[in-house]
Amino acid sequence: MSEQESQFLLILFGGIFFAFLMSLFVVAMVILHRQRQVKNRQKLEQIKSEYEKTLLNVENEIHQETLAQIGRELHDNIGQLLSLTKLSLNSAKPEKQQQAKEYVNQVIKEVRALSKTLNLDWVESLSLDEFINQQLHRIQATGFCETSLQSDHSFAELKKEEKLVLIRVIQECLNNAIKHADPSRIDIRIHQNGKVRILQIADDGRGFDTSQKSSGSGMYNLGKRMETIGGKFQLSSIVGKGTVVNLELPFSV
Amino acid sequence: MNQFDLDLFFNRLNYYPILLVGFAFTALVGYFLLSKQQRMNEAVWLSLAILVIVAFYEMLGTVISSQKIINNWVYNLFNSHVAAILFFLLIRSFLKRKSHKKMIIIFIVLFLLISLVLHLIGFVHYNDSGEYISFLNTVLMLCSCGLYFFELITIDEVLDINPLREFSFWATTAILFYFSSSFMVYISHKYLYTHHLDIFYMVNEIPRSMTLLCNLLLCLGICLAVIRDRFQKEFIHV
Repeated sequence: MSEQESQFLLILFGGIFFAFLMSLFVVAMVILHRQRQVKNRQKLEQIKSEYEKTLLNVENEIHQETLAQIGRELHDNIGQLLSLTKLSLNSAKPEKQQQAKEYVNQVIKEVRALSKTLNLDWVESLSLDEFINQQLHRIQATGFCETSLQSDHSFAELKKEEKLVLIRVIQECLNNAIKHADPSRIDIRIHQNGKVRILQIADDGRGFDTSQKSSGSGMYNLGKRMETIGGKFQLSSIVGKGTVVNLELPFSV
Repeated sequence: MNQFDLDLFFNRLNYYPILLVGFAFTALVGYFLLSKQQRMNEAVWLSLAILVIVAFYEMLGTVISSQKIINNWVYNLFNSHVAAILFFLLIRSFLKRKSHKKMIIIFIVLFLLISLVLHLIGFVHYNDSGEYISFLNTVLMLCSCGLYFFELITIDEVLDINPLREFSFWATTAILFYFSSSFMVYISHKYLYTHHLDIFYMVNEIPRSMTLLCNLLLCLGICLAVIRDRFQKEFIHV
């Protein structure tokens, strides 16, 4: 083989090898891209199933909370009314009979109102502001502490799933404040900050040291729940000065 | 001044410049058939600009060399600078991240600055074989192609696409093959021309074939955009 031929062959094979390497590189890129697509699809499916699971849990918890509330209402309110009705009916006086009729009417009204809370339709008919108002009224009515709500109605437009999760998270935050903080005030403020809407729950209770790890998973779960609807959960607390919880949710596009 | 010899020009004219002019002409017709919105598409008009400039300088190079005048400056100016910058801009139009787009601009500025300095200090001459400039633009071009592929495997915006049905993918692959295969030929240009002329003519077919392949793809990109506009059929997303 002449020198020229060997040089030509060298260039030829060099070129073929180089082209092969380039092709390998491009094919590798396509394969990596495909693998990422598959992983991403799996991740999306996982997020979707987690989202559905969270929603199911939230619905169950709201049902349980509602049943407990119905139990309390039946015992404290309707039960009392029925006892009063029985007492009034035992009397032969016409005004007592009239009063008994009024009690029965009131019981009917209360039972109707209670029956509405048995399914989750009330979630759609009630705005988040109205729900918070109801909750705060209930707390204040017990004489436990003072409450206030300040809202610019940023949470007026919510998907049902978002509302369900928010309702559950708010209920949990209020329960925590009542159970552990012993506050004299609970203030809720709803406002908008750019593309994000913020719901702030502040109490002036005992507070706690946030640097110390909690044994329970309540806070973690609340954070996770907010994440499933694309929101954030932030908590800050100072011992003796109370706790502030911020629930952030971006506006739906 | 010598008179222009038309016979010499026609003797010199071969399939290569004719095909390039054909691609440029087809792309030009296709471009004017496109909707106004598609014409504004950066990838489309940059592809057209590359096709036209390549056809122009190859024809100019053929005309000049046919008259026995050294035509190296045509390649040094148009191939190594103008077309290279257009290729940089085409890859830039495919990128999604602003930081990567900025990097391409930095590459262009860096390339032009180094080229200017090398010419000013006399290290390279506009009429020499241009190995150093070719080396520089090829290295930067390979980095730019690398950026595209890096985005393909890292960013979320491209997760939904099928790269095999994307014009950007095929164009970048063609540019990558064109520059990497021409690389060895361009940097050994002078050596082969002075020592092994027959090998030079043989390996010179590599960048020519790659140019034809690359230009054919860019031309197809514009034609496919016309098909999508006119017949609502999308084979490759431009």
